[in-house]
Amino acid sequence: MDPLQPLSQLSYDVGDFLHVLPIAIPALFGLVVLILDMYLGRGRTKTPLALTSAIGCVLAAVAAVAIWGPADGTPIMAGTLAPSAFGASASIAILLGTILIGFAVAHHAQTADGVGVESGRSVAHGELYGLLLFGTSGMLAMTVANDLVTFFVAIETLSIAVYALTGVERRRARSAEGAMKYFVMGAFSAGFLLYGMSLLYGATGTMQLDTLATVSIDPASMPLATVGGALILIGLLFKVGAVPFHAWTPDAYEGAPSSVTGFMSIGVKVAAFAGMFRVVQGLGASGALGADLAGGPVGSWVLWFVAALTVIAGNAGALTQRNPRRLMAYSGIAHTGYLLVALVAFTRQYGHGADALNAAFAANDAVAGVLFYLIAYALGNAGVFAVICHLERRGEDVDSLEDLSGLAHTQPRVALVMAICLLSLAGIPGTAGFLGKLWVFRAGVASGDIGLVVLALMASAISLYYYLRIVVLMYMREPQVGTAGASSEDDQRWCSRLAILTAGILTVALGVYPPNRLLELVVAGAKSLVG
Amino acid sequence: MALPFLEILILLPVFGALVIGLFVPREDEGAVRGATLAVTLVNFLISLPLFFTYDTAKGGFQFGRPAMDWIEPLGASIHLGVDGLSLLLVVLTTFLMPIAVLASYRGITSKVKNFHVALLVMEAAMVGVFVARDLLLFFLFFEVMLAPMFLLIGVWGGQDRIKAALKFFIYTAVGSLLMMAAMAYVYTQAGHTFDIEKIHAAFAENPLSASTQFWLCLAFVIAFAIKVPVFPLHTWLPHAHVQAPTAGSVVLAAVMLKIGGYGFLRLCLPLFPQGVTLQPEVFLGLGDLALPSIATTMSWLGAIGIVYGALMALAQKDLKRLIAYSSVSHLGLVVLAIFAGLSGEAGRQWTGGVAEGALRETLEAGHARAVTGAIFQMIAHGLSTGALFFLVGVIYDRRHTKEIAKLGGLATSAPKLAVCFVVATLASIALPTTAGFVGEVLILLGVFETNKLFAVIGVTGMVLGATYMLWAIQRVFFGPAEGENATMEDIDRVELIGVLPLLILGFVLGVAPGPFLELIEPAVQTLIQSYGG
Repeated sequence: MDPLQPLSQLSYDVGDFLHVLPIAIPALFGLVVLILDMYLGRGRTKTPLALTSAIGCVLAAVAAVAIWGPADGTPIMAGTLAPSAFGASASIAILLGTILIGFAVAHHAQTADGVGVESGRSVAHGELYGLLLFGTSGMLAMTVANDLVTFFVAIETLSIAVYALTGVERRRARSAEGAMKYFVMGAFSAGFLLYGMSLLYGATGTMQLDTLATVSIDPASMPLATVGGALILIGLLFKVGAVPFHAWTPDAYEGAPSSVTGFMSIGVKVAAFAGMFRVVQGLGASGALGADLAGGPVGSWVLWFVAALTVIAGNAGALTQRNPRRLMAYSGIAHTGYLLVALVAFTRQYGHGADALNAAFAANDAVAGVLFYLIAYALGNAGVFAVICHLERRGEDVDSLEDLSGLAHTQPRVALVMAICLLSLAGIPGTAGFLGKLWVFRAGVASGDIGLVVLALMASAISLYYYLRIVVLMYMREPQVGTAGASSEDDQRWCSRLAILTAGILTVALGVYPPNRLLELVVAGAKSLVG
Repeated sequence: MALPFLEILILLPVFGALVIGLFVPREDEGAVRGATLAVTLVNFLISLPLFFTYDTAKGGFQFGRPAMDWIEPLGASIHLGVDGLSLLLVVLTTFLMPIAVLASYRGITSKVKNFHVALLVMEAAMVGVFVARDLLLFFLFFEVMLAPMFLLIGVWGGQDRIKAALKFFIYTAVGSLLMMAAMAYVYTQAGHTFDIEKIHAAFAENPLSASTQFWLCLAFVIAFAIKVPVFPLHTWLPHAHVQAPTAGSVVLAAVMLKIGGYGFLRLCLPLFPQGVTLQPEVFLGLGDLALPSIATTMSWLGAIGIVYGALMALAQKDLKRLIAYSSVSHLGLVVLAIFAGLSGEAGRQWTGGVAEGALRETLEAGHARAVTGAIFQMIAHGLSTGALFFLVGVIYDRRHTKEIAKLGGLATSAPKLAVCFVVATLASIALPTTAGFVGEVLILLGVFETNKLFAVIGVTGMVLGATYMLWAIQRVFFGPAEGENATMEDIDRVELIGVLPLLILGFVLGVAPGPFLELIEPAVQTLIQSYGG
């Protein structure tokens, strides 16, 4: 549909507005939280805020599954949104992250004891939860956006919320520094994204991803479309932290408060990956990924190299990290690499020499695998960051892995969940992370990229070392006085305990016996994208 | 059989671990030990009907139920069953777990609860590996057992425990990563299923090319070779054994190492028979350069392992390390037994279906005997080495050293312990009337029929085995007892109850191997039909 069409000619079905609900609910609850915060007053416990935002997220999740789940991806509302089970599955991962992080941070800076203020760790809770929810709203919009303008608005909504969140500890220099760095890099990537969109529009005459897939591009303007598509992908690769656009993540992750780091490591990555698959689908179907080259379009080979470099750089970089947030940043880069393996498998179907049946199977497997992987990744990361938030509550920083020493002696349950989540991120069977990894890599094998899969597996062997190192510290070293690992259990922090417990249980449950409903949803999500 | 025995065998320890973990107070160590012992004993009792009611006339997989959807989009199902290959290993596992609990009653004094929870989780995973008939389920259990063992070594181990635990975990996990890629490929080639029978049927209908089989087989073989461990991938084992607490060593040696051998038999040989025997120069384009097939390579590595392990055992100063190297030697023999019949050109002709008449009969008979012996030897080794590690643990708990030079003359201060140790040693060096004798003779006879050179190397292992074990006994138990050695407390009643079943069963299997062989032989025949036929 032409964006310049007069508004009066656009057809709106009133029922379609229902599909906005999953996006609107978090934004609405964001406002509610801001208002509620005024009535709670200073020094009071802020758990009502966590509860309110959790209710909002649960409602949004229910709405996403109920409303988007059955939809088949047909564009609605003048082509701005294309709701489908794909969006619903990705939304679950995003919302899980928001809920768990929201709970984990609930007891931070209950400034009654004054500890928070003195150490410079004052977090204004109304703002924190408001921004979390606004950002979440943008993320959800990104998973279903069909129009490139909607897409951009969604990505900016989430980005601006996360920039502000990174700097939410106003009195801390490091927090401000992280926010600044992140903002500059984010603006940079937004530039790429916008420029790419304009080129793509110039070449194809459409702003909509679904028509992009069917439009026949004039051979003369094909290079323009390819360059435009490449620039959009660069913008998104920035967001997911893929090599060579990954350098900002360790700094931003280290600078931000742990809760925010957890939120952005989950939400931004999930949303950007969901967007990336949808964009790549449009580009691939229109032929903008380039000519065939030995089993796939040129674009798929470019992604092949990006994936290979990303798994290597992420895992190698994580080996030497001593700060848990930096470690998680590099681990996040590695996970981006594994997910890119699935993206490569997905793009193979656009090669003309591809065996259609096998390629469709691989593409379906790739998307379903990625959706499951994102949920597993969200749980694993949320668990790790929830534990870190839980330990930081009294103003102690967890800035060194050694701070976790002996955690299994002082807080056995917290340590157990941390260990489970780390094993899940490492892809050890019995956890959700393993099934995700198997699924994603199986797609790679099915599409014929066995070399890339073996490379990714070898690189992930490295990850065993740095994840296990934390388990070793927690279980096999004595607690060090004065660190977070030495502080004893505190039963008052039920909110963060709940977040930790949920992450642990869900990680094991999804790894041992994932519910059929969820599996059907991710499979339907793959169907709605691949067909 | 109405009762879902196999499901209970897996779930009971998990359930027990949960209940003990959540409801038994940490301080009440007696209750923790008692509850764990009760759970493992009940599990052992439940596993007994498997042995006594398995219908050998019918053969095949029994006690299982039809495959049940597990993770449907991933093509994984819950499909359990035991046959002659796995039944004895299941019973061996459940039999050893109460003994592992008894073995730790003196040595484990800190974090008692966590220790026993880890033991129970490990039992569930080990039983699971042996009864899984779905590749993904097998892999799940295969890896899940790493985490509790990692903790067992790393938390309750000796001085250098963390390094040993990491080495153990990373070695095994890296091996299985390759296996994961191969599994994914098998899935895509076998009509999108992980069910081993269905994969088998699909491959029988549409055989994979020999070169594909080779690569897949290689990935599986490496994973299992690390687990066994086969020389030169064995370096994690002595380290892990020396550092592990007694129960960890007992379980590691008696059950976990067997999973490697079991994996060869259950997955590598029947799924990729031509991959095992293919000489890779056929497709690598290396012209006349003849690389040995996987079977030949593994046979040689097994043979080298026999001699190397024995020589290393001779040179050890640490008693536990000595027994660890004796495991390398014994398991080298098992690996040799599994692969010798398929090695070389003859093996290739056989699995290629071109071996005729006498050659084929000889191969079949020899291979069947050797594989039967291999399974029997795995059980025998589990009993004898389990007992040896148990007894070393008893010594260590009293003397706080395992160094042979610091021990000596223990027979005077601890006569009962000495008798037990000598008996376990005799079982280990395959004295006639012990289980080891039956296993080793079957293996050597079988290997001799197919390849005489390998049989000769195998025999040297037996000779060296007697040397290093008896020499160790002489140094540890005889001679003058000085200092603390003279006053060492003898083995106590609880420990005696723990170790006696191992010793007695070793003799039972040696004197009356009939019922056990009857169980193994038909399963081995079925196995051989699946690739030789």
